Order: sequence, then structure tokens, then C-alpha cells
Amino acid sequence: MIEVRNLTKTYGDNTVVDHLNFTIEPGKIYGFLGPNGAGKSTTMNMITGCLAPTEGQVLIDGHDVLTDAVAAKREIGYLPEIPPLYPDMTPEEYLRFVAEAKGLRGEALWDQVYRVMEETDILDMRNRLIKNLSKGYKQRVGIAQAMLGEPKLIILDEPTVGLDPRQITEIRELILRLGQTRTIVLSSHILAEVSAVCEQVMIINRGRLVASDTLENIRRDNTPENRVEMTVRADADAVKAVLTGMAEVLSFTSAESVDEPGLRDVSIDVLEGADIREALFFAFAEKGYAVRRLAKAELSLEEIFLQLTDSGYREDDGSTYASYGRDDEDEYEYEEDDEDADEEDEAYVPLFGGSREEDDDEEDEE
Amino acid sequence: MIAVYKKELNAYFSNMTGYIAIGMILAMTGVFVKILSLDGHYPNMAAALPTAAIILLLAVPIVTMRSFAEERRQRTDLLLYTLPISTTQIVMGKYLAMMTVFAVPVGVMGLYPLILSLYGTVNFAASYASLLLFLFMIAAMTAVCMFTSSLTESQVIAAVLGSGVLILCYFAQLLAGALPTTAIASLLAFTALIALMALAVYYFVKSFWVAFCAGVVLEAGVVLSYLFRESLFAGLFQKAVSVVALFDIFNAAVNSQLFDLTAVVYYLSIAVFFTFLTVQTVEKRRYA
Repeated sequence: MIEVRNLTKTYGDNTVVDHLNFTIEPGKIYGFLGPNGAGKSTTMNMITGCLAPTEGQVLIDGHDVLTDAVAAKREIGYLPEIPPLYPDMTPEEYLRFVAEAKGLRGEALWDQVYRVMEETDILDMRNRLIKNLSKGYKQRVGIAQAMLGEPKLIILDEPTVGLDPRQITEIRELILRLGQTRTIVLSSHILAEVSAVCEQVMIINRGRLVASDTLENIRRDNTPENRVEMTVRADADAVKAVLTGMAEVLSFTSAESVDEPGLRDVSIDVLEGADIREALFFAFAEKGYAVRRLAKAELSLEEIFLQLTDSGYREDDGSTYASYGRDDEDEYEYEEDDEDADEEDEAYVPLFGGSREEDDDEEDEE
Repeated sequence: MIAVYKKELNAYFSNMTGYIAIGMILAMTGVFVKILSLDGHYPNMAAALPTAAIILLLAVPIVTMRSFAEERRQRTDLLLYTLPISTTQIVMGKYLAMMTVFAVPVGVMGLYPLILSLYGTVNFAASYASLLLFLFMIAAMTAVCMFTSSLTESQVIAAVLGSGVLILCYFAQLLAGALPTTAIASLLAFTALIALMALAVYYFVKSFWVAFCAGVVLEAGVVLSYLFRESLFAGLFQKAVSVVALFDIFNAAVNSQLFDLTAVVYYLSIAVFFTFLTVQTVEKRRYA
């Protein structure tokens, strides 16, 4: 359906999208997840032919999006980050214009215009000026526009940004409904949204693809198998004394628990194949330290997302999400599957709510 | 293209822009036709057009300013880029819509010779030929101002730029007359022009070396031809400047009462050239 080969976009010395490669298969809902400034919008603009890549190629059903643009664009409906609406038109006029531009005529045109208005539930608003519509309705008109011409693929860039919770739920339901018959790619920096709607997830960070799979698989692949997490009533030295005496322990980190003073959260990496949970229990119990919790490590989706996208954060002052409530971290690290570990000394990239680097650059061009 | 054309035309008549421009042109020509032809008993209404044409300095930018600047400001240009239509079709659709707006007052002016014929003998051929040429002149100006609109996100800047260029064209002949005619002055003027062009090239391709080389090659050509044929340069810059005298060419054609085919070709070439440039600027945004 979509084949992205070696896609790269640079603005001067700043690489916003860095050699992306992926394919999108028909019939699924894909989530394009990444922190602000990760290159999501830039990538989507390149996939839809609004922006030419510095390097690489995008094929839509075999049509190159730049050289065979008209054929490629027939297959795509696109809702950019800011819905491209004409405020002085009514939704009906606007959709008629888009339908006509997509080559529809006569009865077929009105059939489709009314069908998409029905599907997006904007029939009641069809004769109001777009500038008088609420943000949620504007978003729907934008989605309706993308659905016209029956494209096989609909690309939505942050479709729920700036909406209230009810509107978000409604838009998500709409996306799920659309996803039953079409391939959908949506971008978001909100994990909950992606996990609620998408079957396949692509996580992008600083222009690179760091994971691409189903959410379940991403969670499984990124959860370290040989890690045990426990909470114990002991101080740092006591924990150290107990653990250094155990042969199976490779390394560990400990931090004071936020739940209750006197408790410590300990995360222990053990030899592959070793299950030392019971041994751990007795080792601590023997010394008189109460074990409050002991389990194989399981990372939440948020933790995995942060882990996959947190490169460039470590030299920061710890005010980031990566610290996750631990006040005094000893050596909290996830080296084993951090693809970007070699980039640590590169520039600081804000995660949430930071400035949007790619957008700034686009505006600099003017 | 038809979709874009219809949408644009609708936009001009669903707000005031279209009516204002049409009203301005009709009011201005109406007043001067009244003074010259009705009061002055002159049978050729076209004689009023060169004077009335000054209103185009305002009317054309008013119509053209929103064409591309507004799309960019509202971010609707992304929609145009994703539609399965080519950039040329988008530009042509918009251009034709603007020309349709201007065709309305010119069409109304087509009634004037008929009205005048009630009072005496009218040379219909001369009148209608002049009106047609008037439309071609507007076509050239529209293309120029559409181009300025494609350069910016702000309608105001687009209009001021467009108006500025048209004013320069309006006074081109006058300015050219004030320039020194010596060969060396021409050479210096061309050098300044080449520097400006190199800057424009830099703006478009964002490469210092391409702009620099283009400038150097052009300048070398000019200097070489100056060294070999100095006499050629005497007064050459004036001739070059009068090429942009959009209005003077129209005036000359009207005064001679001939249908000047070279003027038609001249206006059409300007229209085609600037439409092409507009397509290039819009297309270039994709490669930003």
C-alpha cells in the first residue's frame, strides 16, 4: 500500500527525518507515535506529497508520490495537522469543491458528499459557515474531506489535538468505524489514543523509526526478561550488601520508594534463564528485611514509549518523565535495547510540550 | 482546474472583493467616458481608457492579493497539494477566475460604443479593438500581481508589492527618460540589475554558488559585449526599461487607433511568463 524507502528530510544541518523505511499493509489502522518534534508531521507531509524529501522515495500502490503524483494522490485522503478549511465556505460547498477536484461529477458527487457528511455526522451543520463551527466539527469536516473520492488510504495528522474529551471519544469512534473498510494512518503524541485505536504502531523519535509492530509485541520485545523488581524495607547499603553476595545478579538499581518512607524499590538484572525470585526472598528475609513486593519486571506502555524515545535526555537534570517518581536514582538505565544509545551526546530534544523543531524550520524558509 | 476555477469565482462574489474591483473600474471608466465622449462629443470611447487605466494600479492587486497568500496563511495550500490536480491546473484555475472577474467590467464597457452610436457615428472596430487590448493589459498585470501573491503569506504585502511593481511600470517611460544615456551608465545600470537577479536566484535556489556563478556569467557577458561594442550600450538601458512600460504601450496603441498585434503578443508573453513563475514558486514550496 505505502512503501517508504530511505525517506530523509534535512533543513540545513538539521535532520528532521532520518532514513525512514517502512511499509504499510492494507486494511489496518496504523498509529504513528512520537514526541513533539519527532518528525511525524514532516513524514506525513512527505507521504502525501506536500513536501519533497531530501532523499528517498514514497510509493503509493506503486506510484511515486512526486513523479506520478496525480495517480498516487487518488489513493490518499489527508487531514493535515491544521484542517485545511476555507472559513468563508459552508461544509457542503467545501466538500463539493474537494469532491469536484477529486474528479467526481454529478450524482456521484452529491452521493458521496452526503454519505461522508452522514458518516462524520455533520449533516446538521452543512449550511453554516465553517468559521462559525466548533473545533470538533471543523475536525470532522476535515476528516470528511479526506474520505471523499473513496481513497484506500486515509492519513490523519493528530486528529484529536485540541478537542475536549467527549469530542476525542467521538473522533476515535469515527476512526474505528472508518478503519473497518479502509487503511488508516494516524499520528499522535498521545499513547492512550494510539493504544485505543491502532492495531499497528510505529514509534518515531528524532526522525528515526525506533519500533514498528503491534502494541502487544512492542511491549513484549521491550520488556527485559531477566529483570526482577522488588520493594523491600531496607536502606541502600543493606540492599547492596545482600545483592552483591548473589552470583546470579548482574546489576541492580535501587531508589527510595515514593509510597512509603523506609521502603526501597529495587530493579535487578539477573543471568539469563535464572529465576532467583525465591532466592531473593529468602536472602532478604534471612537478614530481617521485609519484602513487600517481588515480581518479574513489566513495563507499562508509557515506560516503553519513554524508553524508546528518551535518547538525548540523560544529561538533563532529571525533570523528565524518565525519572518516574524516583527521587534518588542510583543508576537507572536501559542499555540493552536502546538503539540510540550512541547518540547520547547529541542535542537535547524536548519530549512533551517542547518547541516543535520541524515546524520552526518550515517557517524559517519564508 | 474547473473545480478550482469555480471555487475561486464563488469566493470573489461571496465577499466584497469582486464587487469592489468591478465597481472601481466601472466608476473610473464611466466618469472619463462621460467627460470625454458624452460631454466632449468624442465618438471613440477608448480615448478615455488610458486615463482611467490608473485605477488598475489599485483594482488588480485587490483582486489578486488573496489568490495564493491567503491559502498559505490559512494552511489550505496543503489541501491543494494533496488533491489529485497539478500545480499548473491550480494556478490556471485561479488565474482564469481572476480574469473572469475583470472580464465583467470590460464586458459592461462593451455597451458604451453602442450607447454612443445613438448620438453619432462610432468606429466600432477601433473601440472594441482597444477594449480587447485593455483586457490583455489586465491579463498581464494580473499575472504579475498573482506572482507577488505567491511570494508571501500576507495579503497586504502581496498587494503592496503588486501595486509597487505596477506603479513602477506606470512611470517606466518617464523614468527611462530621466536616465543618463551614456554607454557607461547603461553598463552600471545593467550591473546593478544583474546583482538584483543574482539575489533573486539565491532566494529561489538557496545556493550561494549557483547565484554567484549566474551573476558572474551574466556580468562577464555584459562587460565583454561592452568592451567589443561600446556604441551599442548608449541608451540601451532606457530601451530595456521601456519594455516594462505596460501602460505606455497600451496608450500608444489606443492613440494610433490601430489593433496592435505586437502589443497583444507582448501582454500575452508577460502573462505566460509570470503564470509560469507562479507555478514555479508554488511548486518550490514543496521543496522548501
